[in-house]
Amino acid sequence: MLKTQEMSKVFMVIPKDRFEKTVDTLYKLKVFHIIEHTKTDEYDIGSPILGTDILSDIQVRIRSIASQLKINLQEDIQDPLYSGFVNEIPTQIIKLHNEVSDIIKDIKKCEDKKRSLNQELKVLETLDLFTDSAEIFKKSSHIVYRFGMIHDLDEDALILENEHELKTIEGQPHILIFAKKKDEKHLDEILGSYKFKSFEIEKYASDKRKLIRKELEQNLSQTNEDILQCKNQLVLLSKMWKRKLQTFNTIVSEKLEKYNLPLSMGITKHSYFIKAYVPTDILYKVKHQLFIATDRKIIFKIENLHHSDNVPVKLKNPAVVNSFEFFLKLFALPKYGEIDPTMFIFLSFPFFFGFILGDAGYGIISFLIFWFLKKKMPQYAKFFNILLLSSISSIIFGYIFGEFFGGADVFGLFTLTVYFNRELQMIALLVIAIAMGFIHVNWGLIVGFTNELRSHGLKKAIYTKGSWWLLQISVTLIALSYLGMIKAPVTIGYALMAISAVMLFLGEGIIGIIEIPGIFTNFLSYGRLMAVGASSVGLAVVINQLTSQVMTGSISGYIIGTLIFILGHTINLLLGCMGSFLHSLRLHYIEFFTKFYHGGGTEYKPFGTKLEG
Amino acid sequence: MALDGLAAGLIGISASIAIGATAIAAAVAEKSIGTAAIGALVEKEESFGKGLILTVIPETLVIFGLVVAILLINLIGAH
Repeated sequence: MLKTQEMSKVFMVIPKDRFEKTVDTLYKLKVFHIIEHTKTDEYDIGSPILGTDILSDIQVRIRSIASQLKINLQEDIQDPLYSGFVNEIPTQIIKLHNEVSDIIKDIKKCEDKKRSLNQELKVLETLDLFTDSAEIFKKSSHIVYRFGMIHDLDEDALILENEHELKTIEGQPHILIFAKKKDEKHLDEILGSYKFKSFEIEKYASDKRKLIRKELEQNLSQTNEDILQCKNQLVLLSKMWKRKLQTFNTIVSEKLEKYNLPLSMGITKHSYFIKAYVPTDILYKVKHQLFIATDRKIIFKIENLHHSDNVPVKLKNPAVVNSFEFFLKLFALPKYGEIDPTMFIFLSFPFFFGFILGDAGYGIISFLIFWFLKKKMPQYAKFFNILLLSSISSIIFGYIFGEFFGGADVFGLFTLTVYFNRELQMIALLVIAIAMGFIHVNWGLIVGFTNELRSHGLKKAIYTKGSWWLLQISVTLIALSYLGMIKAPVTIGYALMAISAVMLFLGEGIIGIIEIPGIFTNFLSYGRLMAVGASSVGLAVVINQLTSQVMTGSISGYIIGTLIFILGHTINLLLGCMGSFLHSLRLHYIEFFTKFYHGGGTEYKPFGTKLEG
Repeated sequence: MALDGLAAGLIGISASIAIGATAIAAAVAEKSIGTAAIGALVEKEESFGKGLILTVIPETLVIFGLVVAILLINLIGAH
């Protein structure tokens, strides 16, 4: 809490004959954040273990199969039933990959066939619209015919030397045209200029047209059946292989990660060497385990941390509070050694959220919705924990403000006591909101002071953070002197202000001077705690008034009134939750964090935990 | 001294301009920043936090407008 996990830097030298055992142990321990070795003139980086290319190929095949069989590989599954087949993985996967590829090819072939059959049937269907006679298509040495699709044909442009007959159907792009054999060339030229798409209908120009159609239909239904059968085969394979494929994927990914580790290591003639960060509290435990695994054949040395080291950051907060780490990951992780503000956000975020939403009815409904969503989407449990706590805070503030869906009346059952009326006491609410801002911003300055004290000493802390307090005091003195509330001359206030400006300049440079008005706008910015809340109450009151006006005693009035009530409050609840969330977050990110937070830390990602699905 | 209807009305209009104009100003500013932030987000998803911050910075303008509006409205009540 408040401090990130303390880390130690270790340097290990691993003899080549102990490499496998060491890597296995490193992977199993899952605590070593590896520092990538950069190639130097003396020490090159290691090469991947032999066989990595084959494993990579197998991994690609596994992913391809999983995508075809719609199997989710995201989960880290290792079924003991299949874990024993490690040596058979390549043969089994290649066999399965070929099998799946064949089925996919069959499906594609069938689909192509289906498309062509459908096209033929469509041509036949259209031809039937023109004529069902076979007589007119009988072979003739004098007459030719064309049947096909054409767009925007200008019939007047169709001038042939001899007589011709054009058949069209309104709304259809198809035409059937008969002409003299002598005009055939000219006809094709004219039709070609209109991008005519001709269909071969020789085979349909017989009495067997119905028979052909029947055959086509039978063929189509057989093809559909074939496609279905292939798809069923895929489903069956998917069911049979799901756990096995997931287990194989886990094994292969693990092996690949281990095989690629030499790429992060330096190499000498007989050994590898590697640097890593390990949480200090388990340092000796993991050292012991590594020694046991390698018969003390490795060198394990603890190095001093330097200021320039990019030490990874592991946040450590108790349960419930750690849900709020989400906000830091969204923004930027603290730098190593910097104060971890998760606990502060845990205290103030739900407070601000509740203060803005401030309605017991909305709080209860949002709590139920978030609770349901948390059950449905366990992967986002931490995010919903934040919202659940915020909903509880809304219920508490709703009780204080005497608001239940915008009014004090709880469905006619009882009436809430209004301890503070947000609608009528807006000015007081604004003053409270700005006072909260004053406390929050100064809280940030205190944290900032501590941070600076730790990292740069007392002098720097006073110049960069203490100067802001002096500035606030000076402005207060000036205001009180002007208002005649104190007898001190106003020059004292101005003198203090000048001193604070000099201190700021010494601490933060010209930026500090430019930002002087910023702190007061920061206080005012907390006015949103009142403003957003008041707008939400205003909307709720309007919805309630509309509802009561519509509910005049008739059944339709009650139905419409209920609809307005439900719809109106649903929209207001959505807007309220979104507004409360974003505005509370903003107050933390902009007004609070800027007083102390640097951020930019690297996330602690120990070797063995990044399993790509 | 009680304010006459005209003065009270003018104060009311001033208050509405204070909040309306700042709201428009904030909207115009947020439009440009929001577009750029979405662009950055597509390139780099981790920049969500910074994008959000930059986008909501101009909102404070409306809060200033609101404070001015409340102070103005208060003038009507005070007299």
